[in-house]
Amino acid sequence: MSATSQGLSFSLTSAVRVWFRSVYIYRRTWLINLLPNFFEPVIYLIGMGIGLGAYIGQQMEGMNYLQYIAPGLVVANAMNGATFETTYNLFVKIHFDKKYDSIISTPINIEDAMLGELFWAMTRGMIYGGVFALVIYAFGLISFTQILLLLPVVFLASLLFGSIGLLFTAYIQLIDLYSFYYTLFLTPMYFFSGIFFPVEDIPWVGEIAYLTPLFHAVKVAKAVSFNQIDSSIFVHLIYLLLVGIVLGYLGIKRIKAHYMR
Amino acid sequence: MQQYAITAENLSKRYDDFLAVDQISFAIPKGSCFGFLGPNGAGKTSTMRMIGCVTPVSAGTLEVFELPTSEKNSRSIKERLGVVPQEDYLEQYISCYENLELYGRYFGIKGNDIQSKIKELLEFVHLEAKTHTQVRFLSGGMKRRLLIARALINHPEMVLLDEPTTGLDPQARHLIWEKMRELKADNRTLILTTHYMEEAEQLCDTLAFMDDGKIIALGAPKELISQHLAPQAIELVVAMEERNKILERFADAVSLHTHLGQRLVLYSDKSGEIISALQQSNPGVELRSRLTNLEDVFLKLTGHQLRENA
Repeated sequence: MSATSQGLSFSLTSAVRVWFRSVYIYRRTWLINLLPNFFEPVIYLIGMGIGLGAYIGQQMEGMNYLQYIAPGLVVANAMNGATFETTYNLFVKIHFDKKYDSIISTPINIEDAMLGELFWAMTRGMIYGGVFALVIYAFGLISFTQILLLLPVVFLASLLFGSIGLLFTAYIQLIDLYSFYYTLFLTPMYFFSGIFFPVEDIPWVGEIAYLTPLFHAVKVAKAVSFNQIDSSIFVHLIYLLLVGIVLGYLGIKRIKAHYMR
Repeated sequence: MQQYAITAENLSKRYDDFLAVDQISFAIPKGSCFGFLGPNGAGKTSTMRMIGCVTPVSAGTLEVFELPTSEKNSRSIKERLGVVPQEDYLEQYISCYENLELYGRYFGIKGNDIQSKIKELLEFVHLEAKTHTQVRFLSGGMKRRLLIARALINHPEMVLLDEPTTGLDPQARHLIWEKMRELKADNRTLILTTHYMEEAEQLCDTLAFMDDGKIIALGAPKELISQHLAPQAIELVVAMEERNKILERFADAVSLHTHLGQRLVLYSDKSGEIISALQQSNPGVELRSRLTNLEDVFLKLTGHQLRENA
């Protein structure tokens, strides 16, 4: 008889209460917490878009480089926001602060708590992606309607990257292992996802890129921003949604097994 | 008919290949104070965790508020429980008030109800002056009191306290004992773990001695002592070769003896006679007479002292 073999039974109300914990704790310090991670893509946008862009001219599918990379950076930003929350932050809460030992003594069960944290990771991803969409709107790179069209992609990218981070966190016992996650998974994916150049054109790399999650998010973000919407974006959106749900479920299940030994 | 807050039958807890709790059975009447006493690693905390529905039962049955502690029932059981954890799991960067407000949210308590409730609870644990102080600035004793206030936010019928006074100074400890007595007077069921026999003796109606995952004795504190040992104890500092002579001499009066490091402990109901006889035959002998306590009982039952790490 062991709970590890049992499934998950979520209470949405409880999950929202755990999500609210982060809102409550961050309500005074949100600016200090959010700001640093927000500068990075702005620097990429200016450095590469304007700096490197000066040498590239209008050669990127007929656009200038700034325009070309901006939508991809929106989803990459969402990825960073959601990832940070379910990697380092979640690890510290589980292993160092023991936050959930207290929370699960209340009517909240561990799967509710993890779902709430995934919601919070998505919130953070939405804030990062959403604010960055406003920045590129201010640069005149997209229209207001396109901001609204970007939001569902940002939402799904936040879900997926929140889930992947959660799954990784569920399996590691050492915080140091995130270095591998960042340098061997996130960074290569960032460069080879089609944000900065058309990755499909490179033999082999293109095929590999197709399997990685960021590629699909970038595809949709670009299609939406460049007015190239066609039915193929649904394949990418479904990929983000399904893989996000499945990996999130597996991660939560694993964390539950850790708590309910 | 007696109503029970908890009933356990052949309850076991296994972590991988380690058996933390080994087929224990007990029943805790509503409104009473029940204590699990034992050294570290005896299975006290594991038992508490099963009662608190934060770890599943490995074998046997456990009913809390007459509900089996299944996953299905866990949320409704936890709604009626208050838990004071051993560790300080408070939110460090927000105030006492905010800690209680946030914790109340986990139970779905909010709005006007919570404001007066928090005020009342902070007064109850004498922390009203710290209402808006961030938790990281509180002393250990204050944090423990805040944990007690937090555990009461949902007006629980039963409160679980895992080593509520470990690491506190005597003043802080007495304040917590006073609060526990007040809760008991309010008809709440209290369950605590401790390795302080004084705490157990003062607060608990019933005690379960745990060692190695098993309950080795169960009963009221006074009963446990009278069942297992004579009422008085004499501690003597004497050399080994001298001990056998003494034991032979008082064989009729001494019901039990133990060797505790440098000391020989004699249990008897005729300690007055023994002491005067000893002072005559061994003038200047170092001896101390006292009442038999729970630690003696524990020592008799397990062969080792309570505070020793098992």
